[in-house]
Amino acid sequence: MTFTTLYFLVFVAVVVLVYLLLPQKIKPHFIILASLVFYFFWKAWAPVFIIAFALFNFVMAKVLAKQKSKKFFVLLMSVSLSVILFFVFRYGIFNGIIAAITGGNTIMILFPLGFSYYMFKCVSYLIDVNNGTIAPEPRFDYFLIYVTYFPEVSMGPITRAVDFLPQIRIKKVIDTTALNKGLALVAWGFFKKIVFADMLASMINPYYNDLTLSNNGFAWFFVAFGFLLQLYLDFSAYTNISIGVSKMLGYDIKPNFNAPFFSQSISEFWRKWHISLSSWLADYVFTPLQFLLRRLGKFASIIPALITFTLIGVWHGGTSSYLVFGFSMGVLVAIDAIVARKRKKLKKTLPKSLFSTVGIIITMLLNILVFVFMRTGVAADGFAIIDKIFSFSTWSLQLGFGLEFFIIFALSIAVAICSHIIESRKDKFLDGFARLKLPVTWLVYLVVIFAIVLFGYYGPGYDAIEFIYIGF
Amino acid sequence: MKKLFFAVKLVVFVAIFVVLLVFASYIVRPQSDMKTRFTGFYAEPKDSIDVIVIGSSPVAPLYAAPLIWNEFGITLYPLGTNSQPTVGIKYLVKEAQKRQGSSLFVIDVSLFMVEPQSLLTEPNIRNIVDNMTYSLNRIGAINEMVQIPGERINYYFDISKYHSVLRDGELSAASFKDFDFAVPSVYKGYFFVDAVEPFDPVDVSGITETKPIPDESEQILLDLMAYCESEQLDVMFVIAPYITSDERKMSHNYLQALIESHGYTFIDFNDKAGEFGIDYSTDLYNRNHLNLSGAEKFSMYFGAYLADTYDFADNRGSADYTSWDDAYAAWETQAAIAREKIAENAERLSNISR
Repeated sequence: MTFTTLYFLVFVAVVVLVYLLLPQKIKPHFIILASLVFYFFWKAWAPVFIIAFALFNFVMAKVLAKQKSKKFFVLLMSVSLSVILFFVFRYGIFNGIIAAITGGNTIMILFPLGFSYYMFKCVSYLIDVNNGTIAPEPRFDYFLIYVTYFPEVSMGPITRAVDFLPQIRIKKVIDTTALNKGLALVAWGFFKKIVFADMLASMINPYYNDLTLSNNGFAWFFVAFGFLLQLYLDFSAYTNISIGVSKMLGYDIKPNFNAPFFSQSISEFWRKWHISLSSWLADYVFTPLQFLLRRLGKFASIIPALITFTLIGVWHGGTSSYLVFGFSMGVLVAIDAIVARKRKKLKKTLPKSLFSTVGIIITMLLNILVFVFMRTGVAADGFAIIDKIFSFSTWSLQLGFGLEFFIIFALSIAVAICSHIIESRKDKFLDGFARLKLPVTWLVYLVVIFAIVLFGYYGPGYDAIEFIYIGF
Repeated sequence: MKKLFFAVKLVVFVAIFVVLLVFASYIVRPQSDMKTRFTGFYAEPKDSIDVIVIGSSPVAPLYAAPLIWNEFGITLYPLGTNSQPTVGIKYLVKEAQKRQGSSLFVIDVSLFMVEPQSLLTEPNIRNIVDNMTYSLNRIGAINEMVQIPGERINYYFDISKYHSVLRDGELSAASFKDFDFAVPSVYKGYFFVDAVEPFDPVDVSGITETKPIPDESEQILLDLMAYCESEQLDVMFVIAPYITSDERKMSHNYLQALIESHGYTFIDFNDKAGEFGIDYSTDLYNRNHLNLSGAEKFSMYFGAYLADTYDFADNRGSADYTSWDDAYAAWETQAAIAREKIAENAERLSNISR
């Protein structure tokens, strides 16, 4: 059940309405039921898998908490098991084993939907329990909510147990302000995804599917830029919907984006892009590695950056292009660390606006180029596109796009800027929206809904476009 | 109290949204002669139509409703759609009943001779359901005609199919004109055709054998007749004139026996072609359809048949029926042009054949 389907809307409407009317005691169990039903819609066996995985981590956390000695060993074993399972699924090793046993006859065991996200949740939970940051959750049903929580299960955000579990115990009452804010986020998410992200995708996909479609480097620059825009609008839309639904259910989920394209460096970009993943890696990979290598001077930051971002690449998928994507980002972040002092000096000498504008433009251009590898799936294709972009002799204003492309492109930039302004103002925007008079609120909703209905990329004749991050 | 207030607000908002969505859906529906015909049907005052004709593409260019009104004082409305799926007819009858409950229903059964599945293409289904107003009948028709349940949602909410007209700049003033189903059809559903294709006369009067229609078609027809019986509707079944064949005549005979065994009138107008004076060299525009010239002859014949057989009140001269007088005036103006065109076309074809 994809988020941007009518089925999901009906599902959410029913879940929220029933949830609000249920007695407090039953509410958590209803969330489990709704989450398992949601997961069941993906594959019938999936609920069994996720329950088993949650149970394993629940038990291991208890063991860790009671363990007096060899705690690290128990932690390592538990985490390794999750990570191995992740790689086994991610790289289809099960399918290979079955094929080897059966002599070629294989059954396709799919990568469980959202496993990479809830695996991170569980790993961080175990580490936090081990470090004493959080006490092990005494109730399995509550832990099951944390792992299976349907607004997050398919694509995150990777909310930490320390932020989520205490919220289950807070009494949930009908809060019309929270409902209003949640609904506004959901509508905004749908608007970004269906009207812009998918429309952009329909325009740039033919180019990525057939690299010979154009030899104009300038056109390829637009295509690469288009993908970065699409990715932001797509993933931030999903996050809006996820956080919006959570708000309606009485849960506060931390934002996953904070105006990333306004970043003045790649390091800053990664603090503002997919925050729940980057902060997770910063806390559980980068910082421990940096601590471990603290005696290596500059390399204490460079090596962890390279490892962390290569891991980000590998996490995205098992192809060469993801590896290149992650490693390139690692190199850029490492360069950031190396030139940090010079940047500071430059910042003092240059006018503030010039420094920030140049920083934003350079960061954006680097992202446009590196994110090409996230789209292609094959590193060679990514390099071919980069080569086309840098073949300046091929640059021509005869781009081969129709007027519609530029209209959608320009409007997508405008929407992305609006989205960045909303993100950078934190909750102020939503608070302001919630204070609007009822007729104005309704008018805004109707305008957004009808913009989706009339201008959206959906329905017969349109190939449904999945959220990009659902594949990760 | 807070919960109640919240619920009331929610219901009011949803109601506003649904009303706007319905209007938006009607606006983005594509313009076609079928849309105009259906919109016009809904625009007719309740219980003002004496005869409703339901059937496939031969219906709209055959039943010259304004002429029948002018000559016999009978109000007739053709609800024809191209390649009309037979399984959808019951729902059109139901929908028509809602507004014109006491009408005589004339159902063209020509397409009961073909496999019903072959008619269930998306355009054929949409010709019916995307010209109906939102109703339980529409949902019923969709459920019956769209075989894959997962696809039905795109038919229930037809805006999902047509919403791109706005982005593509295909929305016209006409789209806004008839979105509330209040604009009557200028020619009361009639569709002018002035093309000509000459054919040799066909005589199948000697064929008395029968050939069964497809089983599934027969089931649909039996179900339709059972429905009409349960509703005690006035119904007659017909086959429009066309260039038939011996084999098809056998199927007509089968249909006749089946329908008459259930106590309903059946007329194969191919048998009456001589009586209404069809000229095969000028009155058809292809082997399955009559043009205006044929329609005028047929309509005069059929109008006389209706006047002789049924006891319809003659409302000519009534202030409530002036729209029919206007329709006839408009129709006659257009018919004069079409007649000339037909004469030209016939002469041109005759010269070519010489």
